Amino acid sequence: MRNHHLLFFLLLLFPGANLYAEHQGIMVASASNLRFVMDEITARYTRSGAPAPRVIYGSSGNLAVQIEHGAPFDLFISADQDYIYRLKEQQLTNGEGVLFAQGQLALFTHHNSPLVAEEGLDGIDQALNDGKVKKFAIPNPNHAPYGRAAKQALEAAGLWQRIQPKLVLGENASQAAQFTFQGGAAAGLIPLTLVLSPGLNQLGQYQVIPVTQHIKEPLIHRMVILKDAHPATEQFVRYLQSDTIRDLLVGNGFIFNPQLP
Amino acid sequence: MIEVSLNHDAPPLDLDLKIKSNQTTALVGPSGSGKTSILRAIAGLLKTQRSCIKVDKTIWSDSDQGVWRATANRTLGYVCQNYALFPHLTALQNVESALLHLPESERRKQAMESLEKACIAGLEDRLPANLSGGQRQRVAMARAIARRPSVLLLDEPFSALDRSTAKRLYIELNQLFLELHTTVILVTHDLDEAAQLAEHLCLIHHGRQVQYGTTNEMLRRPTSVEAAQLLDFKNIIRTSCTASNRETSNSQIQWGDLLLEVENAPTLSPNSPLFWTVRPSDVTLVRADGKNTSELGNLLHAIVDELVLLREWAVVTLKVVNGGPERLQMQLRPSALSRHQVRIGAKIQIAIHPSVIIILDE
Amino acid sequence: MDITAITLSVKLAFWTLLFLVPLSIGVGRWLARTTFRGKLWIEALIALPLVLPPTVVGYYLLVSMGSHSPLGRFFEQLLGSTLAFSFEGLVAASILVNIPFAVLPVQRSFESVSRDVREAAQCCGMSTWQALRRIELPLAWPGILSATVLTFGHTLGEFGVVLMVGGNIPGETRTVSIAIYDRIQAFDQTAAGQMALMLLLLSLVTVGVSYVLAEKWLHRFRSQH
Repeated sequence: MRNHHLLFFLLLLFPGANLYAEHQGIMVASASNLRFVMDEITARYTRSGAPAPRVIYGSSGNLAVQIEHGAPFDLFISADQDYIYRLKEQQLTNGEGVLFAQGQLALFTHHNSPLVAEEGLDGIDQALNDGKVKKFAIPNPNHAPYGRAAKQALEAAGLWQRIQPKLVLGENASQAAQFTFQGGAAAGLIPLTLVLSPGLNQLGQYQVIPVTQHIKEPLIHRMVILKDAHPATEQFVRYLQSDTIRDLLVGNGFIFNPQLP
Repeated sequence: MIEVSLNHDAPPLDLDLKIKSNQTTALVGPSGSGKTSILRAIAGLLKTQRSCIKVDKTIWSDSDQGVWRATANRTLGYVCQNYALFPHLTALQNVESALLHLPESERRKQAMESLEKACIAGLEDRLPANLSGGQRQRVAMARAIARRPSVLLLDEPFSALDRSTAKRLYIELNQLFLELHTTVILVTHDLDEAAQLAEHLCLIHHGRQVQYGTTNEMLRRPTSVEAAQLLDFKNIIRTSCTASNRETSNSQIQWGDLLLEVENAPTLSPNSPLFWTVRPSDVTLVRADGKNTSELGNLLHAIVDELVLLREWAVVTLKVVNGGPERLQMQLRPSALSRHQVRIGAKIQIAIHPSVIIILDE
Repeated sequence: MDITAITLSVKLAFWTLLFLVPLSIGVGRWLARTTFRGKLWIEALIALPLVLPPTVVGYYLLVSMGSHSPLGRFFEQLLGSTLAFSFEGLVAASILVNIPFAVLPVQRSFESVSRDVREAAQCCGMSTWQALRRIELPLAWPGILSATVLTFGHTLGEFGVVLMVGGNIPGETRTVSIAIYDRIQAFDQTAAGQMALMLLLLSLVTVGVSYVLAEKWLHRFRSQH
């Protein structure tokens, strides 16, 4: 290889090429179930001329751990408020943040499933008795907020004991959703926002589970600006609280209960 | 003069050798006697607890003074049992590996010279995998002599070869050693090999030097029982001295009820523990007609106990009448067996000349 | 198709190899040559990343490189940015995690260079460096190649550790394996499939080429009779 080719090749590989030379948009750590709605939101935000926020999706718990160890995010949107309060105690946040939206749980059945979502959890009850339920998907209640909510809803409907042997647990909400249309689960309890997403909305039917069924786990998504965040973050947070965006969120399966903080 | 003084625990070594320069010396001994360890210690591949190795006037190691010259800095050549040729290099490159101190242009020339001396020129571009055992041995030899070493160390260089190849190589090597005019130390357990290649012999047993001398002398006249055993002497028999004449240096020894005359024996004190031995080939068969027996020396009657026919010889084991309890071994040509009617159980007469009886001390 | 992710993965593999191959030659040779009390413990330590689940390893690496750790703080003071969640942090994590893949084949390879051959090199008058360059390295070459291929492949496919330590930051720590996972989570099968295919082809070509080279090398030793 000629010398200058080699040099060029090496420069290409040189890791220090700093991509942050100019502000490239704030970094948002977001709970993974917000993926589709956040994509839409950031697209709209960019149209107003601001640099596009870069959103990194993950499980809220994982993201919180990473933030504790210095992850360079500006904004954290969590599906579980407790993570934010914990970060505040470690003085990693600017205040205790604000409400993003409240999520909802939905019963989802694939078109080819023997079960029918419209019959709600009562229908599942019947199907269990008839032996029609082979597998039922929920996010893992041990660490996913939607999983905990799903468990509570099943307990409230008196199904938990009988359905336990049939459960398949998704590592996160997205994986639970995949089980329902790829993994052979006859039905699942997954975030409404995922059901309404472009990937899933054509693939089956759903029934919203009322909040009262899992009142101990209200699925409140909270967002907080992190310590040393870029000043442009505040503007984005205000945008997220704007009426236009709130309408968009409602259309995507979220609710805003005036009784909640 | 190569001076080698070693002390070590495992393997046990305790010796003080003085090896003549510019000649070939064989280190002979049974397996496990430590001969390879000695060679490795001379090469610097084995670090012993105490060592003092001087080659001519150069000190290669002196543990008392804290001197140690690394193997790479000792001008030696080493050929180990499996030759250890570099498998990824051709024969020529193998030899050139010993000549890295020379500029590249010189290396090839000197390497080719070496290969020619070792009688392996013509195969220089072959890889070791494509050479026969004998060819590899020659390449290893060429590599060892390329540097014009002051000491050439050979560790059982023929043990991996069949007898006929080895025999051919003996002749080549003899020629090579004569041309080289360098000190060669050869480790072997084969006495014939030592006899053919070495001018000097050093017997090693349990890491100690048993005897050192010229090969001829050692093979003909060992001085101790241990030496005789190592040299594969057969008839080692306990005895005691009954008479000794200082002027004629003749002596008499007792064996059973027999008295044997011995010539050229060292002055012996009566009642000191002695052994005598005679080579099987020195015991002669007396013809039945018994003419001129007076010059044959000690005449003995014996009964044939065992008869083993080998390729070129017959080994006859005898029970000597009136002799001690030990049996005597003699060698006969197979043709003599039938001529003199030597069979198991046959009574024969043998003669042992006083000059062939060797006295050994304990 | 996320080209940045693919180039990032290749960059990560390259820098890992750059540090790890010489390191593995040094450590592998040392382990092959020396015996000492406690050597077994060192070897067990080296094999540790093989046994621990990547997310566990990733978590502990995060703890030791993050902003709470002395190492992380030192790095931050020195260069102004965090060690974790940066490409440099990924390289560090990748080197640690790939140690067994690099050291073990090299160690075995050096062990296979017989003592007789090494001693013959000394008897030829070669210095340690000459013996290493002319005899040991050429003979240990297949092991070194193996180590390189294994490390390269493993780095390209590494997921758990990269996710924990890197944080999935696009352009900086979003490697192709993470990007594929990301697309699957977004139910974007097409993009995921394309990148997976790209990864597969890249790996096949690299591994294939390396093995052809190794075969040509080994062929030299085989008898032509």
